[in-house]
Amino acid sequence: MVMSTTLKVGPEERVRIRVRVNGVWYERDVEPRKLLVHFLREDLGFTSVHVGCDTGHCGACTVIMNGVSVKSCQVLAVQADGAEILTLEGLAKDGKLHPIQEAFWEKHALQCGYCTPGMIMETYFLLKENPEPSEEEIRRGLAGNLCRCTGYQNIVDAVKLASQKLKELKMTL
Amino acid sequence: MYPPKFGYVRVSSLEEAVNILNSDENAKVLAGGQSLMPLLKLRLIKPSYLVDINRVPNLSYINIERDRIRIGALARHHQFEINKELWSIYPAIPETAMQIGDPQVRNLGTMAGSLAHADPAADWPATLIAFRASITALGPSGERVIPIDDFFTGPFSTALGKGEVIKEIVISRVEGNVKSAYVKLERKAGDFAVVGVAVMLKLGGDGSIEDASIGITAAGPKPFRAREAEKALIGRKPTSDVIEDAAEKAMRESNPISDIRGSSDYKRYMVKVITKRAINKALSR
Repeated sequence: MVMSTTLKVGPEERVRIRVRVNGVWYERDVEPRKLLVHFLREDLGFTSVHVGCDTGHCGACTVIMNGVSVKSCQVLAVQADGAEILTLEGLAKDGKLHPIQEAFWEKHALQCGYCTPGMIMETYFLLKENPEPSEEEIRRGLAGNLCRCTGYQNIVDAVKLASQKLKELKMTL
Repeated sequence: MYPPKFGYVRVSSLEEAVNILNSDENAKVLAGGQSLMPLLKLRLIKPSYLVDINRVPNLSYINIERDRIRIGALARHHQFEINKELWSIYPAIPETAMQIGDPQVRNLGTMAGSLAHADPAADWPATLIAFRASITALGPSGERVIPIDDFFTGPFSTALGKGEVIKEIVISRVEGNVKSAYVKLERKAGDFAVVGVAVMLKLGGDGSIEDASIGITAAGPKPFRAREAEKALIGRKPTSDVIEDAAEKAMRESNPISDIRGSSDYKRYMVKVITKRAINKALSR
Protein backbone atom coordinates (compact mmCIF):
# COMPACT_ATOMS: atom_id res chain seq x y z
CA MET A 1 0.00 0.00 0.00
CA VAL A 2 1.38 3.39 -0.99
CA MET A 3 1.24 5.85 1.90
CA SER A 4 2.53 9.07 0.48
CA THR A 5 0.59 11.96 1.94
CA THR A 6 1.23 14.65 -0.59
CA LEU A 7 0.48 17.49 1.79
CA LYS A 8 -0.44 17.95 5.44
CA VAL A 9 -0.95 21.31 7.15
CA GLY A 10 -2.14 21.95 10.71
CA PRO A 11 -4.94 24.41 11.58
CA GLU A 12 -2.47 27.06 12.77
CA GLU A 13 -0.04 26.60 9.89
CA ARG A 14 0.13 28.21 6.51
CA VAL A 15 0.67 26.40 3.27
CA ARG A 16 2.52 27.58 0.19
CA ILE A 17 0.40 27.36 -2.97
CA ARG A 18 1.15 28.10 -6.62
CA VAL A 19 -1.74 29.22 -8.79
CA ARG A 20 -1.72 30.39 -12.40
CA VAL A 21 -4.15 33.27 -12.81
CA ASN A 22 -4.78 34.76 -16.25
CA GLY A 23 -1.56 33.20 -17.50
CA VAL A 24 0.74 34.30 -14.66
CA TRP A 25 1.99 32.06 -11.85
CA TYR A 26 1.63 33.38 -8.28
CA GLU A 27 3.08 31.85 -5.14
CA ARG A 28 1.64 32.73 -1.74
CA ASP A 29 1.32 31.28 1.77
CA VAL A 30 -2.29 30.80 2.84
CA GLU A 31 -4.25 29.42 5.78
CA PRO A 32 -6.00 26.14 4.89
CA ARG A 33 -9.36 27.82 5.57
CA LYS A 34 -8.80 30.69 3.14
CA LEU A 35 -11.42 30.77 0.38
CA LEU A 36 -10.36 31.09 -3.25
CA VAL A 37 -12.43 34.28 -3.61
CA HIS A 38 -10.49 35.97 -0.79
CA PHE A 39 -7.18 34.72 -2.19
CA LEU A 40 -7.96 36.17 -5.63
CA ARG A 41 -9.28 39.49 -4.32
CA GLU A 42 -7.15 40.23 -1.29
CA ASP A 43 -3.87 38.43 -1.91
CA LEU A 44 -3.64 38.89 -5.68
CA GLY A 45 -5.83 41.95 -6.29
CA PHE A 46 -8.23 40.48 -8.84
CA THR A 47 -11.17 42.56 -7.64
CA SER A 48 -13.49 41.62 -10.49
CA VAL A 49 -14.17 38.50 -8.43
CA HIS A 50 -17.05 39.80 -6.32
CA VAL A 51 -18.39 38.57 -3.01
CA GLY A 52 -22.15 38.77 -3.37
CA CYS A 53 -24.16 36.47 -1.16
CA ASP A 54 -21.26 34.51 0.32
CA THR A 55 -23.59 31.49 0.60
CA GLY A 56 -23.11 29.94 -2.82
CA HIS A 57 -26.33 31.22 -4.38
CA CYS A 58 -25.51 34.36 -6.36
CA GLY A 59 -22.58 33.42 -8.62
CA ALA A 60 -20.92 36.88 -8.47
CA CYS A 61 -17.64 35.16 -7.53
CA THR A 62 -17.68 32.81 -10.56
CA VAL A 63 -14.26 32.11 -12.12
CA ILE A 64 -13.02 29.44 -14.51
CA MET A 65 -10.83 26.87 -12.73
CA ASN A 66 -9.12 24.22 -14.84
CA GLY A 67 -11.63 24.82 -17.63
CA VAL A 68 -14.87 24.74 -15.64
CA SER A 69 -16.83 27.48 -13.93
CA VAL A 70 -16.81 27.41 -10.14
CA LYS A 71 -18.09 29.65 -7.39
CA SER A 72 -14.83 30.80 -5.84
CA CYS A 73 -16.52 31.33 -2.45
CA GLN A 74 -17.20 27.57 -2.38
CA VAL A 75 -13.62 26.49 -3.04
CA LEU A 76 -10.56 26.70 -0.78
CA ALA A 77 -7.48 28.49 -2.07
CA VAL A 78 -5.41 25.43 -1.20
CA GLN A 79 -7.62 23.35 -3.52
CA ALA A 80 -6.54 25.61 -6.37
CA ASP A 81 -2.86 24.77 -5.80
CA GLY A 82 -1.43 24.07 -9.25
CA ALA A 83 -4.65 25.17 -10.97
CA GLU A 84 -5.20 27.41 -13.96
CA ILE A 85 -7.66 30.21 -13.14
CA LEU A 86 -9.31 32.67 -15.49
CA THR A 87 -10.98 35.79 -14.10
CA LEU A 88 -12.63 38.68 -15.91
CA GLU A 89 -9.30 40.55 -15.87
CA GLY A 90 -7.91 37.85 -18.18
CA LEU A 91 -10.49 38.34 -20.94
CA ALA A 92 -9.60 41.69 -22.54
CA LYS A 93 -6.49 41.55 -24.72
CA ASP A 94 -4.29 44.54 -25.66
CA GLY A 95 -6.87 47.03 -24.43
CA LYS A 96 -9.61 45.44 -26.53
CA LEU A 97 -12.66 43.94 -24.88
CA HIS A 98 -13.41 40.24 -25.31
CA PRO A 99 -16.39 39.56 -27.65
CA ILE A 100 -18.47 38.48 -24.63
CA GLN A 101 -17.69 41.78 -22.89
CA GLU A 102 -18.51 43.70 -26.09
CA ALA A 103 -21.84 41.90 -26.32
CA PHE A 104 -22.70 42.80 -22.70
CA TRP A 105 -21.77 46.43 -23.50
CA GLU A 106 -23.78 46.61 -26.72
CA LYS A 107 -26.90 44.96 -25.31
CA HIS A 108 -26.65 46.97 -22.08
CA ALA A 109 -26.78 43.73 -20.13
CA LEU A 110 -26.23 45.37 -16.77
CA GLN A 111 -27.48 48.10 -14.50
CA CYS A 112 -25.50 48.25 -11.26
CA GLY A 113 -22.88 45.87 -12.68
CA TYR A 114 -22.22 43.93 -9.51
CA CYS A 115 -23.19 40.55 -10.99
CA THR A 116 -21.56 41.26 -14.35
CA PRO A 117 -18.10 39.66 -13.91
CA GLY A 118 -19.73 36.45 -12.68
CA MET A 119 -22.31 36.56 -15.49
CA ILE A 120 -19.57 37.00 -18.07
CA MET A 121 -17.42 34.17 -16.68
CA GLU A 122 -20.41 31.80 -16.58
CA THR A 123 -21.28 32.89 -20.15
CA TYR A 124 -17.70 32.00 -21.08
CA PHE A 125 -18.19 28.47 -19.70
CA LEU A 126 -21.64 28.12 -21.27
CA LEU A 127 -20.41 29.15 -24.73
CA LYS A 128 -17.30 27.00 -24.42
CA GLU A 129 -19.49 23.94 -23.84
CA ASN A 130 -22.33 24.94 -26.13
CA PRO A 131 -21.33 27.60 -28.71
CA GLU A 132 -24.88 28.12 -30.02
CA PRO A 133 -27.26 27.77 -27.08
CA SER A 134 -31.03 28.19 -27.38
CA GLU A 135 -32.74 30.80 -25.20
CA GLU A 136 -33.78 28.06 -22.79
CA GLU A 137 -30.23 26.72 -22.63
CA ILE A 138 -28.94 30.23 -21.90
CA ARG A 139 -31.44 30.68 -19.07
CA ARG A 140 -30.56 27.25 -17.64
CA GLY A 141 -26.85 27.97 -18.12
CA LEU A 142 -27.06 31.18 -16.09
CA ALA A 143 -29.34 29.75 -13.39
CA GLY A 144 -26.51 29.98 -10.86
CA ASN A 145 -26.01 33.72 -11.37
CA LEU A 146 -28.43 36.17 -9.83
CA CYS A 147 -29.07 39.70 -11.10
CA ARG A 148 -31.31 41.92 -8.99
CA CYS A 149 -31.54 44.80 -11.52
CA THR A 150 -32.08 43.80 -15.11
CA GLY A 151 -34.76 41.13 -15.13
CA TYR A 152 -32.27 39.10 -17.21
CA GLN A 153 -33.71 39.92 -20.66
CA ASN A 154 -30.76 42.01 -21.82
CA ILE A 155 -28.33 39.47 -20.37
CA VAL A 156 -29.95 36.70 -22.41
CA ASP A 157 -29.76 38.94 -25.49
CA ALA A 158 -26.08 39.63 -24.79
CA VAL A 159 -25.28 35.92 -24.58
CA LYS A 160 -27.00 35.39 -27.93
CA LEU A 161 -25.00 38.25 -29.43
CA ALA A 162 -21.77 36.93 -27.90
CA SER A 163 -22.43 33.53 -29.45
CA GLN A 164 -22.92 35.20 -32.84
CA LYS A 165 -19.78 37.32 -32.48
CA LEU A 166 -17.62 34.33 -31.52
CA LYS A 167 -18.97 32.39 -34.49
CA GLU A 168 -18.23 35.26 -36.89
CA LEU A 169 -14.72 35.63 -35.48
CA LYS A 170 -14.27 31.83 -35.58
CA MET A 171 -13.04 32.19 -32.01
CA THR A 172 -12.94 29.17 -29.73
CA LEU A 173 -12.96 29.57 -25.96
CA MET B 1 -18.03 34.51 6.00
CA TYR B 2 -14.85 32.71 6.96
CA PRO B 3 -14.76 29.02 7.81
CA PRO B 4 -13.40 28.05 11.23
CA LYS B 5 -9.76 27.03 11.41
CA PHE B 6 -9.02 23.50 10.31
CA GLY B 7 -6.05 21.51 9.11
CA TYR B 8 -5.75 20.18 5.59
CA VAL B 9 -4.48 16.87 4.27
CA ARG B 10 -4.22 16.13 0.59
CA VAL B 11 -4.16 12.39 0.06
CA SER B 12 -3.13 10.39 -2.96
CA SER B 13 -5.16 7.26 -2.21
CA LEU B 14 -8.48 6.40 -0.55
CA GLU B 15 -6.65 4.01 1.79
CA GLU B 16 -4.74 6.96 3.12
CA ALA B 17 -8.00 8.89 3.65
CA VAL B 18 -9.43 5.89 5.53
CA ASN B 19 -6.40 5.78 7.84
CA ILE B 20 -6.74 9.43 8.75
CA LEU B 21 -10.53 9.27 9.20
CA ASN B 22 -10.18 6.15 11.33
CA SER B 23 -7.66 7.75 13.66
CA ASP B 24 -9.37 11.15 13.88
CA GLU B 25 -13.17 11.18 14.22
CA ASN B 26 -13.32 14.94 13.69
CA ALA B 27 -11.67 14.81 10.28
CA LYS B 28 -14.00 15.17 7.27
CA VAL B 29 -13.70 14.23 3.62
CA LEU B 30 -13.52 17.04 1.07
CA ALA B 31 -14.73 15.93 -2.36
CA GLY B 32 -16.74 18.47 -4.40
CA GLY B 33 -17.26 20.55 -1.28
CA GLN B 34 -20.51 22.09 -2.47
CA SER B 35 -22.40 21.08 0.69
CA LEU B 36 -19.36 21.07 2.98
CA MET B 37 -18.27 24.64 2.26
CA PRO B 38 -21.61 26.24 3.27
CA LEU B 39 -21.63 24.13 6.45
CA LEU B 40 -18.14 25.39 7.29
CA LYS B 41 -18.98 29.00 6.54
CA LEU B 42 -22.14 28.86 8.63
CA ARG B 43 -19.98 27.25 11.35
CA LEU B 44 -22.37 24.34 11.63
CA ILE B 45 -19.38 22.00 11.68
CA LYS B 46 -15.82 22.44 12.92
CA PRO B 47 -13.65 19.62 11.59
CA SER B 48 -10.10 19.05 12.83
CA TYR B 49 -8.83 18.28 9.34
CA LEU B 50 -10.27 18.27 5.85
CA VAL B 51 -9.10 15.22 3.95
CA ASP B 52 -8.98 16.32 0.33
CA ILE B 53 -9.50 13.34 -1.99
CA ASN B 54 -9.66 15.40 -5.20
CA ARG B 55 -6.14 14.40 -6.29
CA VAL B 56 -6.70 10.65 -5.86
CA PRO B 57 -6.21 9.28 -9.37
CA ASN B 58 -8.77 7.26 -11.33
CA LEU B 59 -11.88 8.07 -9.30
CA SER B 60 -13.80 10.21 -11.80
CA TYR B 61 -15.11 7.41 -13.99
CA ILE B 62 -18.62 6.57 -15.17
CA ASN B 63 -18.11 3.11 -16.69
CA ILE B 64 -21.11 1.81 -18.58
CA GLU B 65 -20.56 -1.96 -18.79
CA ARG B 66 -22.78 -4.69 -20.21
CA ASP B 67 -24.41 -5.68 -16.94
CA ARG B 68 -23.72 -2.73 -14.68
CA ILE B 69 -22.73 0.90 -14.43
CA ARG B 70 -19.80 1.70 -12.16
CA ILE B 71 -19.39 5.22 -10.86
CA GLY B 72 -16.23 6.47 -9.15
CA ALA B 73 -16.30 8.55 -5.98
CA LEU B 74 -15.16 11.69 -7.81
CA ALA B 75 -17.63 11.59 -10.74
CA ARG B 76 -19.15 15.10 -10.81
CA HIS B 77 -22.81 15.90 -11.48
CA HIS B 78 -21.94 17.63 -14.76
CA GLN B 79 -20.35 14.45 -16.16
CA PHE B 80 -23.72 12.68 -15.88
CA GLU B 81 -25.58 15.58 -17.45
CA ILE B 82 -23.50 15.44 -20.64
CA ASN B 83 -23.26 11.64 -20.93
CA LYS B 84 -25.12 10.79 -24.15
CA GLU B 85 -25.12 7.05 -23.53
CA LEU B 86 -26.83 7.53 -20.18
CA TRP B 87 -29.45 9.74 -21.81
CA SER B 88 -30.26 6.90 -24.19
CA ILE B 89 -30.34 4.01 -21.71
CA TYR B 90 -31.30 5.49 -18.34
CA PRO B 91 -32.42 9.10 -18.92
CA ALA B 92 -33.47 9.49 -15.27
CA ILE B 93 -29.79 9.59 -14.30
CA PRO B 94 -28.66 12.63 -16.35
CA GLU B 95 -32.11 14.14 -15.79
CA THR B 96 -31.42 14.04 -12.05
CA ALA B 97 -27.95 15.53 -12.49
CA MET B 98 -29.20 18.51 -14.51
CA GLN B 99 -31.66 19.47 -11.77
CA ILE B 100 -29.09 19.63 -8.98
CA GLY B 101 -28.08 23.12 -7.82
CA ASP B 102 -26.73 25.18 -10.69
CA PRO B 103 -24.00 24.77 -13.35
CA GLN B 104 -21.14 25.88 -11.09
CA VAL B 105 -22.25 23.54 -8.30
CA ARG B 106 -22.59 20.67 -10.79
CA ASN B 107 -19.05 21.25 -12.08
CA LEU B 108 -17.62 20.38 -8.66
CA GLY B 109 -20.26 18.45 -6.69
CA THR B 110 -20.04 14.65 -6.76
CA MET B 111 -22.66 11.89 -6.60
CA ALA B 112 -20.76 10.12 -3.83
CA GLY B 113 -20.46 13.33 -1.82
CA SER B 114 -24.17 13.96 -2.13
CA LEU B 115 -24.91 10.43 -0.87
CA ALA B 116 -22.47 10.70 2.05
CA HIS B 117 -23.92 14.09 3.04
CA ALA B 118 -27.43 12.53 2.99
CA ASP B 119 -29.52 15.68 2.88
CA PRO B 120 -33.10 14.36 3.14
CA ALA B 121 -34.10 16.58 0.19
CA ALA B 122 -31.17 15.68 -2.11
CA ASP B 123 -31.92 14.48 -5.64
CA TRP B 124 -29.57 11.52 -6.24
CA PRO B 125 -31.01 9.26 -3.51
CA ALA B 126 -34.42 9.03 -5.22
CA THR B 127 -32.88 7.98 -8.52
CA LEU B 128 -30.37 5.57 -7.03
CA ILE B 129 -33.16 3.93 -5.02
CA ALA B 130 -35.19 3.56 -8.22
CA PHE B 131 -32.19 1.97 -9.94
CA ARG B 132 -31.51 -0.30 -6.92
CA ALA B 133 -27.94 0.88 -6.71
CA SER B 134 -25.39 -0.33 -4.21
CA ILE B 135 -22.55 1.52 -2.57
CA THR B 136 -19.06 0.13 -2.19
CA ALA B 137 -17.53 1.55 0.96
CA LEU B 138 -13.86 1.34 1.82
CA GLY B 139 -13.03 1.16 5.52
CA PRO B 140 -10.32 0.10 7.95
CA SER B 141 -11.20 -3.57 7.44
CA GLY B 142 -11.50 -3.39 3.67
CA GLU B 143 -14.42 -3.06 1.27
CA ARG B 144 -18.09 -3.81 1.84
CA VAL B 145 -21.17 -3.37 -0.30
CA ILE B 146 -24.18 -1.51 1.11
CA PRO B 147 -27.52 -1.74 -0.74
CA ILE B 148 -28.97 1.74 -1.26
CA ASP B 149 -32.09 0.81 0.73
CA ASP B 150 -29.91 0.31 3.82
CA PHE B 151 -27.60 3.25 3.21
CA PHE B 152 -29.64 6.18 4.53
CA THR B 153 -30.40 5.91 8.23
CA GLY B 154 -31.95 9.33 8.85
CA PRO B 155 -31.49 13.03 8.05
CA PHE B 156 -27.79 13.61 7.29
CA SER B 157 -26.89 10.13 8.51
CA THR B 158 -25.80 7.03 6.68
CA ALA B 159 -24.65 3.47 7.27
CA LEU B 160 -21.04 4.54 6.73
CA GLY B 161 -19.06 3.59 9.84
CA LYS B 162 -15.95 5.03 11.45
CA GLY B 163 -13.23 5.56 8.90
CA GLU B 164 -15.41 4.50 5.95
CA VAL B 165 -15.59 6.38 2.66
CA ILE B 166 -17.57 5.76 -0.52
CA LYS B 167 -15.36 4.23 -3.17
CA GLU B 168 -17.85 3.42 -5.89
CA ILE B 169 -21.55 3.34 -6.73
CA VAL B 170 -22.81 0.39 -8.78
CA ILE B 171 -26.06 0.20 -10.73
CA SER B 172 -27.01 -3.24 -12.07
CA ARG B 173 -28.44 -2.99 -15.56
CA VAL B 174 -31.91 -4.37 -16.19
CA GLU B 175 -32.48 -6.24 -19.45
CA GLY B 176 -35.45 -5.46 -21.68
CA ASN B 177 -37.64 -2.46 -22.32
CA VAL B 178 -36.74 -0.14 -19.44
CA LYS B 179 -38.15 3.37 -19.04
CA SER B 180 -37.11 5.88 -16.44
CA ALA B 181 -37.69 9.46 -15.30
CA TYR B 182 -36.93 11.80 -12.42
CA VAL B 183 -39.37 14.61 -11.76
CA LYS B 184 -38.56 17.29 -9.21
CA LEU B 185 -40.83 19.96 -7.84
CA GLU B 186 -38.83 23.03 -6.82
CA ARG B 187 -39.78 26.49 -5.65
CA LYS B 188 -37.05 28.26 -7.56
CA ALA B 189 -34.12 27.43 -9.84
CA GLY B 190 -31.34 25.59 -8.03
CA ASP B 191 -33.31 24.91 -4.84
CA PHE B 192 -33.61 21.59 -3.08
CA ALA B 193 -36.68 19.52 -3.97
CA VAL B 194 -40.08 20.21 -2.42
CA VAL B 195 -40.66 16.62 -3.53
CA GLY B 196 -38.67 14.50 -6.01
CA VAL B 197 -39.74 11.18 -7.53
CA ALA B 198 -37.67 8.78 -9.64
CA VAL B 199 -39.32 5.92 -11.50
CA MET B 200 -37.93 2.92 -13.32
CA LEU B 201 -40.38 0.71 -15.23
CA LYS B 202 -39.76 -2.47 -17.20
CA LEU B 203 -42.42 -3.13 -19.79
CA GLY B 204 -43.36 -6.55 -21.14
CA GLY B 205 -44.18 -7.34 -24.77
CA ASP B 206 -47.91 -6.86 -24.14
CA GLY B 207 -47.39 -3.40 -22.61
CA SER B 208 -47.89 -4.50 -19.02
CA ILE B 209 -45.46 -3.47 -16.30
CA GLU B 210 -43.17 -6.40 -15.48
CA ASP B 211 -41.14 -4.54 -12.89
CA ALA B 212 -41.37 -1.17 -11.22
CA SER B 213 -39.16 0.74 -8.86
CA ILE B 214 -39.93 4.11 -7.27
CA GLY B 215 -37.60 6.27 -5.15
CA ILE B 216 -38.86 9.39 -3.38
CA THR B 217 -36.89 12.23 -1.82
CA ALA B 218 -37.82 15.15 0.46
CA ALA B 219 -40.97 13.40 1.66
CA GLY B 220 -39.74 11.85 4.88
CA PRO B 221 -36.81 11.85 7.30
CA LYS B 222 -34.86 9.96 4.65
CA PRO B 223 -35.35 9.06 1.00
CA PHE B 224 -37.40 5.90 0.59
CA ARG B 225 -38.65 3.24 -1.79
CA ALA B 226 -42.43 3.44 -2.34
CA ARG B 227 -43.03 -0.32 -2.08
CA GLU B 228 -46.83 -0.25 -2.07
CA ALA B 229 -46.85 2.00 -5.11
CA GLU B 230 -44.46 -0.37 -6.91
CA LYS B 231 -46.75 -3.34 -6.12
CA ALA B 232 -49.73 -1.42 -7.49
CA LEU B 233 -47.96 -1.20 -10.86
CA ILE B 234 -46.31 -4.62 -11.25
CA GLY B 235 -48.24 -7.05 -13.42
CA ARG B 236 -50.70 -4.40 -14.63
CA LYS B 237 -51.12 -2.35 -17.75
CA PRO B 238 -50.36 1.31 -17.02
CA THR B 239 -53.88 2.69 -17.43
CA SER B 240 -54.70 6.04 -15.83
CA ASP B 241 -56.57 4.22 -13.03
CA VAL B 242 -53.57 2.04 -12.25
CA ILE B 243 -51.22 5.05 -12.25
CA GLU B 244 -53.63 7.03 -10.06
CA ASP B 245 -53.79 4.13 -7.60
CA ALA B 246 -49.98 3.82 -7.46
CA ALA B 247 -49.56 7.58 -6.93
CA GLU B 248 -52.17 7.49 -4.13
CA LYS B 249 -50.21 4.68 -2.45
CA ALA B 250 -46.93 6.60 -2.78
CA MET B 251 -48.61 9.52 -1.05
CA ARG B 252 -49.74 7.30 1.85
CA GLU B 253 -46.20 5.94 2.22
CA SER B 254 -44.73 9.43 2.51
CA ASN B 255 -44.18 11.32 5.74
CA PRO B 256 -42.90 14.82 4.92
CA ILE B 257 -42.28 17.53 7.50
CA SER B 258 -43.59 21.08 7.31
CA ASP B 259 -40.84 23.57 6.51
CA ILE B 260 -40.11 26.61 4.35
CA ARG B 261 -40.79 24.52 1.24
CA GLY B 262 -44.37 23.77 2.25
CA SER B 263 -46.66 22.21 4.83
CA SER B 264 -46.69 18.51 5.45
CA ASP B 265 -50.17 18.19 3.89
CA TYR B 266 -49.15 20.10 0.79
CA LYS B 267 -46.04 18.00 0.30
CA ARG B 268 -47.97 14.75 0.77
CA TYR B 269 -50.36 15.78 -1.94
CA MET B 270 -47.43 16.77 -4.14
CA VAL B 271 -45.99 13.26 -3.72
CA LYS B 272 -49.11 12.00 -5.47
CA VAL B 273 -48.95 14.62 -8.23
CA ILE B 274 -45.22 14.19 -8.88
CA THR B 275 -45.38 10.37 -8.76
CA LYS B 276 -48.06 10.45 -11.41
CA ARG B 277 -46.00 12.84 -13.54
CA ALA B 278 -42.85 10.72 -13.16
CA ILE B 279 -44.65 7.51 -14.21
CA ASN B 280 -46.20 9.25 -17.22
CA LYS B 281 -42.93 10.85 -18.20
CA ALA B 282 -41.12 7.50 -18.07
CA LEU B 283 -43.86 5.85 -20.14
CA SER B 284 -43.72 8.63 -22.74
CA ARG B 285 -40.07 7.89 -23.48
